[in-house]
Amino acid sequence: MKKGYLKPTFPVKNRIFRRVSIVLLSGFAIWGTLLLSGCTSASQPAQGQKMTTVTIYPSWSRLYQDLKSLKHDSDVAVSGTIMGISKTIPSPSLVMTDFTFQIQKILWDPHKRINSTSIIVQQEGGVTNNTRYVAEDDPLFQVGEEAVLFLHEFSPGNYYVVGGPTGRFLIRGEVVKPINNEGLSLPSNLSESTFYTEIQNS
Amino acid sequence: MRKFLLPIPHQFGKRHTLLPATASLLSICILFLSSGKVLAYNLEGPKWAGQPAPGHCCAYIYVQRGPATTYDQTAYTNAIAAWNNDDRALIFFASGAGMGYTTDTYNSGTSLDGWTNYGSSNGYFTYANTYLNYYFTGDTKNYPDGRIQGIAVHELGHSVGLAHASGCVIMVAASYTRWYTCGIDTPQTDDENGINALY
Repeated sequence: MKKGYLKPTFPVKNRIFRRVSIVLLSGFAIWGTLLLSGCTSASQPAQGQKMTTVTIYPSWSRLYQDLKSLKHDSDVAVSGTIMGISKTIPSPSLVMTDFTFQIQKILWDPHKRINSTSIIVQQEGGVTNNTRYVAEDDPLFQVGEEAVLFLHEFSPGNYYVVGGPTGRFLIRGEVVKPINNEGLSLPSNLSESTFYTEIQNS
Repeated sequence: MRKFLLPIPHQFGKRHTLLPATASLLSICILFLSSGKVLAYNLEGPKWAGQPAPGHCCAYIYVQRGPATTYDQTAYTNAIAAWNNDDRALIFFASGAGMGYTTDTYNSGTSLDGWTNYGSSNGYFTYANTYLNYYFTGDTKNYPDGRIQGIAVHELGHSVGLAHASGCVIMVAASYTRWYTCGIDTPQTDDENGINALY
């Protein structure tokens, strides 16, 4: 009776045991994998590779929604390429970066300020002491970035972008785009040549 | 609509009761979505921890006043008063160290007339430093007092967690817009709503 009772139940228990074991083993395997990957990422800060980002929350003097005002308040307007970082100024109040900008075309220079093919464009933000400082709505220039810039010359040969993000336009595949939606509203497929004509005529 | 409603009523034979109920629910959802108020404030992410403290109505933020030119100190004084006298904004700035810090500096190589940077950990501020740029707020640029006060109110807003917003609010990104387009140098309803959502 006891034998007869046990016989049919053993296979059932074995099956349950086997399934529970599989579930438990799978669980341990997943937990182990996660644990190991966690250890890997936890070791990164110890190696000093983690970059901290500090956002600069600005009040801009002025943001420009029309080309005429932007041009009026600018000393020069140029198109060209960000070639590299000249230096980072690690001021405790505001970290700044000097970028070298290779001029491709001078679009507006009524006082003939530009006498070189390369100028320094200073931007708030930069990387120093493993910390990346960046303004809330004005991403740092990227090396190789092609842009149209409206600039103010604050010392000979040194410029900053007038109106922050609203005085800076990206050129991608001969199409001009604003950095964000705070400034000029441009047609989606505005060509470089059309934009240059608009600058001349505004 | 048909695709969405058919399976359940047929399975359970309760189509006559479920259809109107589902339709009502959908109508309420549509009404809610179409009349939903758009938030006109944005938050940076972090806030000051432990605020408001138990037994207090409002977030109580200690601000240490650093050195600054006379007109920037006046702007900060008036900006703190503007936040503190605002009955709707549940925030109060008090004198003291350990949280916010205000000062000014001279920087002619930027178009920023003020800025704030802060540290945060686990969603809470660890410090917040606020600067006015007296290249702009000084005599040479002829900034009216209200425009300078607006910058200070704006930066104090950043120092407690408000991000840039659009429209005639103190958190609009440019001081020119704040003062010349909107004529404001104090917190507006959407700024207050942002503060009250945080604290």
